Amino acid sequence: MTTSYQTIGQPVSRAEGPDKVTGAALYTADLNLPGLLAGKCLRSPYPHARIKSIDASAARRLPGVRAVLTGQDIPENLVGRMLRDFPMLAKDVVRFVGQKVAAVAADDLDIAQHALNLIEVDYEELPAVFDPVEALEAYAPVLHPNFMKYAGRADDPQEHPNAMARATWGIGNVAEGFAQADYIFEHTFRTPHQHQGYIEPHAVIAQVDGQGRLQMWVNCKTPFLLRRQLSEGIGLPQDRIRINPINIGGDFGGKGSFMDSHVAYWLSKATGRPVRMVMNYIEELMAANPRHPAVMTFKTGVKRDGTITARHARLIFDSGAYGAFRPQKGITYGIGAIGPYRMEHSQIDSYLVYTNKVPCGNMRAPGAPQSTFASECQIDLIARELGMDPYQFRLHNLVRDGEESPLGHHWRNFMGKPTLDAAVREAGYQAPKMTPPDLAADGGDWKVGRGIAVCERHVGAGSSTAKISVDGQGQVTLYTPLQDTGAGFYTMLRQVVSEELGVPYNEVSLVPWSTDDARFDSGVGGSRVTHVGGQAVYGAARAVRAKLAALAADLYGWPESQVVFKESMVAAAGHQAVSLGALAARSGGLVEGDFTYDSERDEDLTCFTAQVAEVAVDRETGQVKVLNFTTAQDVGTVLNPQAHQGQIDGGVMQGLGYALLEELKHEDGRISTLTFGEYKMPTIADIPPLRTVLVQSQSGGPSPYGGKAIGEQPISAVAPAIANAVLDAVGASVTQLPITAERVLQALRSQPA
Amino acid sequence: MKKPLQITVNGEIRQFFAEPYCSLLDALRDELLLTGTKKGCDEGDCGACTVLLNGQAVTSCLVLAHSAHDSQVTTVEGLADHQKLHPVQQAFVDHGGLQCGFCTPGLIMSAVGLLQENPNPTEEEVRFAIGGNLCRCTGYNKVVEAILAAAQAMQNKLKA
Amino acid sequence: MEAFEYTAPKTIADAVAALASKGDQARALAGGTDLLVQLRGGRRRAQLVVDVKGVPELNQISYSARTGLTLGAAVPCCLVYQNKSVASAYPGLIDPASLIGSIQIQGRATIGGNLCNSAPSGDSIPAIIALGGVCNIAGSGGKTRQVPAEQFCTGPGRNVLQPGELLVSIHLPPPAANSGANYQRFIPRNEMDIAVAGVGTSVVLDSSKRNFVSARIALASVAPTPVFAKKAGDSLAGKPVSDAAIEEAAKLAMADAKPIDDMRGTIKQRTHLVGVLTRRTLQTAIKRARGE
Repeated sequence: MTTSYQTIGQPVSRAEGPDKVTGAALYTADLNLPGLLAGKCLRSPYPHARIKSIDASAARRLPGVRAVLTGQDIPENLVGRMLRDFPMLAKDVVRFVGQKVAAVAADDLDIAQHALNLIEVDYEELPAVFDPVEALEAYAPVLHPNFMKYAGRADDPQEHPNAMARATWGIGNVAEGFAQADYIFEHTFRTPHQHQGYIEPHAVIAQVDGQGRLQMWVNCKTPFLLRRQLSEGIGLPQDRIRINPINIGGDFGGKGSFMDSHVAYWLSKATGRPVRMVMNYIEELMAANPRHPAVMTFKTGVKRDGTITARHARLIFDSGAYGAFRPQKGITYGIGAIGPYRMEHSQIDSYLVYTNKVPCGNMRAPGAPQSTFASECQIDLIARELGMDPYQFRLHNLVRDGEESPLGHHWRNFMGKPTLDAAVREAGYQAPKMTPPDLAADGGDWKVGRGIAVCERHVGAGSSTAKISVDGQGQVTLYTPLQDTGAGFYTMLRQVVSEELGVPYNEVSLVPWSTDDARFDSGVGGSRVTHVGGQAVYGAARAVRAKLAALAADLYGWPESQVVFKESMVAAAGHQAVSLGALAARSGGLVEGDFTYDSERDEDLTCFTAQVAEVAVDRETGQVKVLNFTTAQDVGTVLNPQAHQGQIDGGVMQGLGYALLEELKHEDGRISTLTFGEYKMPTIADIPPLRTVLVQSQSGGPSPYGGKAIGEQPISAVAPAIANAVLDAVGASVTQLPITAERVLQALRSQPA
Repeated sequence: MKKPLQITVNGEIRQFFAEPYCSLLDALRDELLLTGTKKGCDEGDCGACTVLLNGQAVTSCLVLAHSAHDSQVTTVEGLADHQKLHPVQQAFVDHGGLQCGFCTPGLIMSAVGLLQENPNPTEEEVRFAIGGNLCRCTGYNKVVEAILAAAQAMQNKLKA
Repeated sequence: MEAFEYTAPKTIADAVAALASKGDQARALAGGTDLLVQLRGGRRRAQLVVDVKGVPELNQISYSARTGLTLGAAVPCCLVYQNKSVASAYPGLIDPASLIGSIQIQGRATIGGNLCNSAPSGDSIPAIIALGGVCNIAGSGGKTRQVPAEQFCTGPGRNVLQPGELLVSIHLPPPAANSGANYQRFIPRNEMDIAVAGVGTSVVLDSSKRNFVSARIALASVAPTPVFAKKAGDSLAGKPVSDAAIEEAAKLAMADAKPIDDMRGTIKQRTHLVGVLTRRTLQTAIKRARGE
C-alpha cells in the first residue's frame, strides 16, 4: 500500500485500557441499583418431559421472596432471535436439561436459590432423542409438533418433523462428476458442542420504571435485535424498551442471545423493583448457546492425478431443543464446506435438526470450524491414498485468482496460493522432523508430524450509524451504538476519527449509545465491525470534516478542497492554521456529523487462511502435543496491528481448544462437563509458539482504508491442521473432535498392521 | 446471620458484617462494593477473582470472608497510585495484554503477586504464575509479553 | 450457598469439640479449595465449618533424617515444595504437591485436605501411600490413632474419620538408602487438570542398585478410592531391575485398577494408562534411587 496514514496501521494500545486494568470498567453484574433483587431460575432435570404440575406455594411463603413465576403466570409467547420456538418459561413441556421452568426474585441470591429448592415440579418423562442423525429417522420422537405454526421459520417445507431447516448449495451435477472420477472417497466426521468460554457469564438487569418503561442493562452485543425480541415476548412496543450500554466480558458469538432477559422483565414487573439475573458457570455450560455439534459426510471424486471432479457434503447440525438462538432464517451453516478447491460439480446439503439437548447458537465463524474440519481432514486422507503430499494436492486443486469458486463465485484478488505458500514456508513444512529433547527424555514414544489446513471466509456486512461532534474546546466525541465486546474496535473506531480529523486517537472521547439514541444497528459479530462500524464512523468523520472545511472556507476564504486536519489544527497552504476547537467555536455550537452505513455481503470477496501445525504424538498414550503453530492470513490494510494480532492469537487458541480439549459431554442428555475443570479450555500451558504471516492482498477489503476482516478467520483451520499433523506423525486418522489421546490410540489400534 | 469481621483492604481497615458462608469474593463485591474483582466460575478454575491475601495470590471465591479476618487483601483497585497506573497495569495496556477486560483484574493480581516475590522472573516463571488464570480473548501471548515488560520497567525504575 | 456456621479454633481440643458438636454435619476446612466448591454446588452439606488453619499442630512441617517427615494437615502445597529439606528427601511427594492446581490453589490447598477430600483422583494420595505414609488422627478426649494412608479412604469422598475426628498430620518414614519415588498422572491439558489416571511408586534398591529390595505402587482415578496395588509392588521385591520385572509389575497394577467409564476417560484407556504410568514412574523412581 502506498498511502501513508497518521494513526491507521499503528499498533496503538487500547484507549479503554486504563478503565479495564483498574477495575473501573463496569460490567452488568457490577451494577447496583437501589432496591435491586436477585433473580434465579429453576431448570428442568429431564431432557424431555411433560410438566404435570408445579407447586410453588412453599417458595412463595419463604421470607425475602418477592416473586415466583411459572409458565402459567406469563403470556405464552414464544421468543427467538429469528425462529420463535422458545418459551420464556416452559409451560407444558421441557425439551432439554436446563430449560427454565420457574423463576424467583428475592432479596438476595441465597434466598432465591433456597426458594428454587422449595418448588415442586411433577414431570412425566417422554421419549428423548440425542443424536441428530437418529432425530431424522422415522421412529424419532417429534419434538415440536407445532413447528409449522412458529414465526420466523424457514419458508421451505419441512422434510422431517425434526428438521427445522435445510439448505442446498452447489454447481453442476455431482452424479456426473463422480462418474468422471477414478476414485471416490467417503468419510464421516463428527464435532462436539463448543462453549464460547467468555469468562463473564450472561447477566441482565431489568427495571420497569414508574412509566412502565423497561430499562435494561445486559451483556448483549446486539441490543437493537434484543429490543425487538423482547418486544415480541413481553408485548411492550419497542420504543418502551431501552437497552443501556455496558461493557461485555467476552463474546465469541455467544453474547447475542436473550438468555434471561425476558424473565428478568417479568420478575421486575411482578415486583416493581429492579432484578438482576447472573447465570453461574454451571448454568452457562448446561444451558447457554454453544456451537452446534455436527455429523458430516463428505464424498469426493478424484482423478488419478489428484484432480477433484466432484464433492458432495451432507451436513447435519444439531440445534438442540430450540432454534431460537440462531439469528438467521433457515440455515447458513456449511456454505464454505466444499473448501476453496476448483471443481465443476459440487453439492452441499445442510440440515438443522432438533434434539433434546442444549439449544445451540453462534460461535466465532459459526458452522465453519465444523465443516472445515471434515473437509480439510478428508483432503489429507485422499492425498495420502493417492500418494501425493497434502501440500501438493492442495496446490493442484486450489482455486487460482480469476477462477470460479466451487459455488460459482468469482473471488476478486483471491489470495489462496500466496497465502498457502507463505504458511508452508514460514512453518518449515518441508524441513526434517525432530522430536524435541525434553519430550525424547520423558519416556514416551514420540513421533513428530506436520499438517496443513486452509479455509476462506467472507467479510461481514450489515448496518451501523455513528455521530461525531466537535466542540469549541476541540473535544471530539464519537457516538456509536456498538457495544464493546473486547475485540478492540472502540480503539480502532477512534483511530478512524483521529485519522480524518487530525486529533490524537486517545483524545477522542467515545460515548456508547443506548437503543434510544439510534435507529438501528446490526450489532457486533459476523466479521462485521471493522467494515460496517468502521464505515459508519468514517462517513460521520468525513461529514464533520466537510462541515469544518466549509466553515473554514466561509470564514477565512480557504479553498475547501485544500483544508487539512493535522495535530488538532486545521490548516490550508499559505494560511495561518487555526485550532480545531477555535474553528468549531466559530460555528456557534457543536459541529456534528452523522452517517448510516448499510451494506450487503459481497460474495465475490473472501479472506484466505492457511495454517500449519507441528505436533508430537506419544504412540504409547496417544497424547498430542502441539509443538509449533503457523498461521498465514490474507489481509487488507490492518487498521490496528496490536488488536489484529490479538484476534489471531485468540482465534487460534480457541481453535486449539476445539481441536484437542473442548467438548460438552452428555450422558443421557445431561451435560457432565459442568465446570472449567471438566470443560477444558486451553490454559497458557497449552499454547504452543505461534508464528503469524500477514499476506497483503492488493485489492484490500470494504472496510475504511481497505481493511478486510480478521475475527473469524483464524479459528476454523486449526483443528484439521492438527488432525492432519497427527495423521502425518503416526498414521492415525481421527475423524471426531476433540482429538483426545484415547481417540488417537483407537485410531492407531485400528490401523492395518 | 451476618457476623462482624475486619479486613485491611488496599491498605484501609474495613470493618463490616458478612454471613459465615460468604466468600471473600462476594464480600469484596457485595459488602465493600469493590467490583473490580470479577466472578467468573466461582469454583477456583478461572482465576478471574484472584486477589492478594497477605501477599499471596488466591482465588477469592475459595476463601471464606471470615477466614480472611485480620488479614491484608489487595485488589485491582488498590494498585494504581491515584491516576498513575501500576507498572503491571500500564504494561497490560501498552502491550495489548487485555481485550474484553473481564479476566484482566485476576491476571494482573497474579502478575503482581509474582513480581512481589520474584521481581525478575523468567518467561517460564511468568507462564507458571498465570497458569491458573483463564483468558479466552488474548491467547495469552500478549499477557506474557506485558508481564515481562512490567518486570523490566520495575527493574529499570529501581536502578534509576 | 446453603447457610452454615463458621468457627476457627486455635487448639486441637477446640477443633475436635467443634467437630463433635455437629456430628456428621460438621466439616473441617483447611485450604477450602475442594470443600467450598462442594458446599456451593450442594454436593456436600454442613451446618458447621471448622477452619483448622489456626491450629499449630496442623501447621507443622518438620523433617529429620532419623524420624522422617511430619506434615501438618493444614500446610499448603506451596510450603511443601518450597521446603528444601523436604524437597530433597521426598521428590516423590513434591511431584503431586507441585502439580495440584494453579499457584492460587497451591497457596491454599493442603495434602491433608487432599486426603480428607478422598477423591479417587486426589493426586497426592498415591504418592503418600507409595511413601508409606501414616495418618495421625485426633478424636475427642485427647484420643489419637494412626491409620496407614492406604486404609484412609473408604469410598468416593469418604474416609475413616468418624464424626468428631480430625486429621492432624501425615507422617512419612525417612527415605531408606538407595530409595526413590515418583508420581505421574495423565491429563488432557498440559497443566491444571484432573487425572484420568495417576500412579505413585516408590522403590528401595540394594547397595548394588541393581536389585529391588522392595517397592510400593498406588493408583489414582481408577477405582472408588485410591488403590494400593500391593501385589504389583511386592512382585518386584528381590528381583533384578529389568524391563521384564517392571512389565510384570505394570500388568499386576493394571489388574488392580477397577476404573469406570465417565467424562474423564473410559475403562479401557484408564487401565492402559495405569500400565504405562506404572512403567514410567518405576523407571523414574529407579533413576532417583540411583541418584541419576
